[in-house]
Amino acid sequence: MDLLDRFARGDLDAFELLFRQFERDVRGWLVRLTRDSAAADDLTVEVFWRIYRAHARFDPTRSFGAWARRIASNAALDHLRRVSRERGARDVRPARTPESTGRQDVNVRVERAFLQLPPMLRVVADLAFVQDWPHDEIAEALGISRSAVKSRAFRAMHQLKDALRREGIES
Amino acid sequence: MNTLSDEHVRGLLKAAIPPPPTDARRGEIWPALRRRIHDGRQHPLRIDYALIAAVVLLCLLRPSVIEFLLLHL
Repeated sequence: MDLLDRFARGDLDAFELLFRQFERDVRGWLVRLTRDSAAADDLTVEVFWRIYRAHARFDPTRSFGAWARRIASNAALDHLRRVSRERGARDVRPARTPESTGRQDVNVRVERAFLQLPPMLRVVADLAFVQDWPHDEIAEALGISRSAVKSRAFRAMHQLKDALRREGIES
Repeated sequence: MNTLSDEHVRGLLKAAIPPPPTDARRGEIWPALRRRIHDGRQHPLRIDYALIAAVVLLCLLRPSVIEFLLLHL
């Protein structure tokens, strides 16, 4: 019986082998989405815990890596929503220091506008606009359709422009 | 009226948003995961026992439930 079949039947040794094989990819993906190494470490445990719990639902004929990445995307989004709620309560924003130069000041305002996006739109905007990922790859990694990525990228761009205008950046 | 183009917004974002961090993880996480799996395996057992106890109690208090359960098992 191969590794994926053994994992689907709940074999812990098979799961450990898969963990060793995919841990780096999953953590790297979590770092990309959350931009926070410490959070990514904690989320890696959470993601593999979710993977193990869902072993009976895994189809051994499908890619384990793609499945793991989708579970990681959901965990990262849960984390970003939680952080957003806490940020909303505390209104933590990038600080504007008196010695900020013009360029730094623009960057602070852009980052503030970016952080105002809802987590799902922020993740799509980050991958599509900052990290230049093709829509197909974003769709695969987030477990959504290509048209959903396109629509979210469009909404993210629209909301970003509004937020930038509120920040006084218009051209 | 907003005069920002999509390309301009992309450029602003790339300049303002730092690249994702590249530092390595803190240490081995398999032991923590293994511990969590073992803890998790024990919790459903407790829930199972609680459910069995609740059903037994219900059957003792209302014997008509036994007939209902037999019909649905």
